[in-house]
Amino acid sequence: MTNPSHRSPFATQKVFLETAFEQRFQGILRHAWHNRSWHVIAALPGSGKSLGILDLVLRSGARKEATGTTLLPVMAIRSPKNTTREQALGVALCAAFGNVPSMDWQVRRTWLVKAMASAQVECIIIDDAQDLTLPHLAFLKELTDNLAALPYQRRVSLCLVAATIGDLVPFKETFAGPEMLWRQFRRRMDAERPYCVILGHTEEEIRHILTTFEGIYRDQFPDLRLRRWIKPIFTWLTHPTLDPDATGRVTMDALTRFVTAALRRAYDQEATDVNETILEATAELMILRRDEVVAIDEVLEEEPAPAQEEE
Amino acid sequence: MDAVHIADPAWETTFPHRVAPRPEEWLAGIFLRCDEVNGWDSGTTMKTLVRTLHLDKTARSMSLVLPPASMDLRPLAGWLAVSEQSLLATTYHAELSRLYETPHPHAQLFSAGMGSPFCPACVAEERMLRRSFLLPHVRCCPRHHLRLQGVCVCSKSLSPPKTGFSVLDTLAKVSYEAGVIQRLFSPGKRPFTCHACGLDWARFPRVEADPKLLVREQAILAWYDFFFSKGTLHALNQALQIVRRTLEQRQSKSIKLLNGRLSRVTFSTAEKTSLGRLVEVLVSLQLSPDMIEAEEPAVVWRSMNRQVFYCPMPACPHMRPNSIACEARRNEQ
Repeated sequence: MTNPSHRSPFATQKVFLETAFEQRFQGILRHAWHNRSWHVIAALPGSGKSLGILDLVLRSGARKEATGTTLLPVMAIRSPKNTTREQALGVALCAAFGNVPSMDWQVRRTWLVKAMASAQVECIIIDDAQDLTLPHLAFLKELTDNLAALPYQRRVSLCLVAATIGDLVPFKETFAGPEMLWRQFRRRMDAERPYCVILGHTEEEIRHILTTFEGIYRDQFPDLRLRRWIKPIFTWLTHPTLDPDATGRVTMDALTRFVTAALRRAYDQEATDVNETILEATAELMILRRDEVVAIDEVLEEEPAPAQEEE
Repeated sequence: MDAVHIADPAWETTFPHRVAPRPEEWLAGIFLRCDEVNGWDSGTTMKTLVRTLHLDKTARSMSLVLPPASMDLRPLAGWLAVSEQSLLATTYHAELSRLYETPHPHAQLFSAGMGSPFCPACVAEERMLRRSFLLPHVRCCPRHHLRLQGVCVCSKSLSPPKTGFSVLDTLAKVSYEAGVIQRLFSPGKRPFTCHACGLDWARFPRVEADPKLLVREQAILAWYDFFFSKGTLHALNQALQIVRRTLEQRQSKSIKLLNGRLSRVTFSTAEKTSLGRLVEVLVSLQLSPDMIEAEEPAVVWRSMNRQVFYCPMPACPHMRPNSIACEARRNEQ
């Protein structure tokens, strides 16, 4: 036990964990990148898709040299929201390069092809792809066709990363349509794995993640042993409230929030490890009282900024 | 110069492709190289800066040799992730500020020539516009020994429009034969090309410079080099004194200038003397910077009874009319 008066507030550690899900997810992204293949990749909301994309982009070797050379092998954007216009997607793709002066849309769409070719774009990843509309998809096809044609002759991979519900994969039915555009899209999709659903974590995989959490929070919880509670944690996190599609898998978001909430509770009690009571109370809060309305009648204490871990 | 990696927040604020100033490069060359490497029309970078700074049209047309005080280069430095100092070094702002001892030297002090002279070989090799090509009376590239170009002869192959009025037709013919004066920035055109015919500046004629001209330009560049590297207002004053002394010795008030014309030499104060004009006179008189460096600065002395001192400068700006004494204003300043 430590003296509470000398104890700093609980600090959430925000780090990227290369979990089993991330290995599976980044694995298919890398496969697409290296083979220039097209895929629709789906996973449950909160699986860690966006973080996985960010991590891949950060490690892709993208850089702007002062000599005029710019490399952007993996170009990742988020699908434009609340607009069906192709310009919105074009602007989002341009923004991936940094600061681009305003220009007429017709000039911009031509410029974008040149810029992607000169930056040696090899893979386009669109996050939240379930929000893409017909004009967006048509523009993507036009863009990739122009890159594949003379003078650039660059084949690029396309990964439409979407949130899914259950076994439903976005675009599967759309691309099966008889219209020419969808036929062309279908033809470009990867032959072996055109539609992928990346599954969440198994109990064994959760064990590895809990081991990592123990290390990350060792400074604040010297006696932390989360692995002891693997069975109940897995059972709680696969409860129908948190796993409505009965996948029997755990998302990273649910696990992280559970662990963080339990640790914060333990920290407030000046404990150096979690116990059954704390875990049960946390599970009850996340499962049974998930949608409970809480009346706020006090000023909440601010949490310190999350510690950044250097790699 | 370090690369900007995608993890760096500067990725979002920098242009898609970056260029960094090179030694002796002119600011306009940076703008054009930035346009070219990013695949933009000529003048896009300049237009973006002007729009960002909300500059009016007057400022927009100001010389890029000596940008006006309103032209803040910090946004451009941010877009390219280079230091502001490195961009300022592509102008003559720092050199002229020191020379004239003023933070904002006026463009007229420089009297740069019109147009945008360039060396086709420099453009071909590294898309380089040298700032020294903007110096008054510089006509050759000291590196390639070529005449600088700034006019495209593409209009010579075209027939000027006929108006039916002989005077106007003659003027149009003369204008067509004179060629197309190259513009630095031409919206809708590729950078480093003739706005009329699209010919790349690298493919402009390469005309060997006359050896005599090269020798003369060495003398011109030596003077500029002296003023830009060691120059102060004191050095300018000394140069003016040497000019006056030389003219007195030669018992002449006129000299044959670099363009061959005979001209009467008159200078006002050093602060108001155009550097281009002064260098022209110094070279015309075949004077060299060694003559200034060899001279010791004059010592100011003052009377014990009166707060006046005798100024060694024949045209001291603080001198009273019809008096050999001047107030000690210079010391007070």
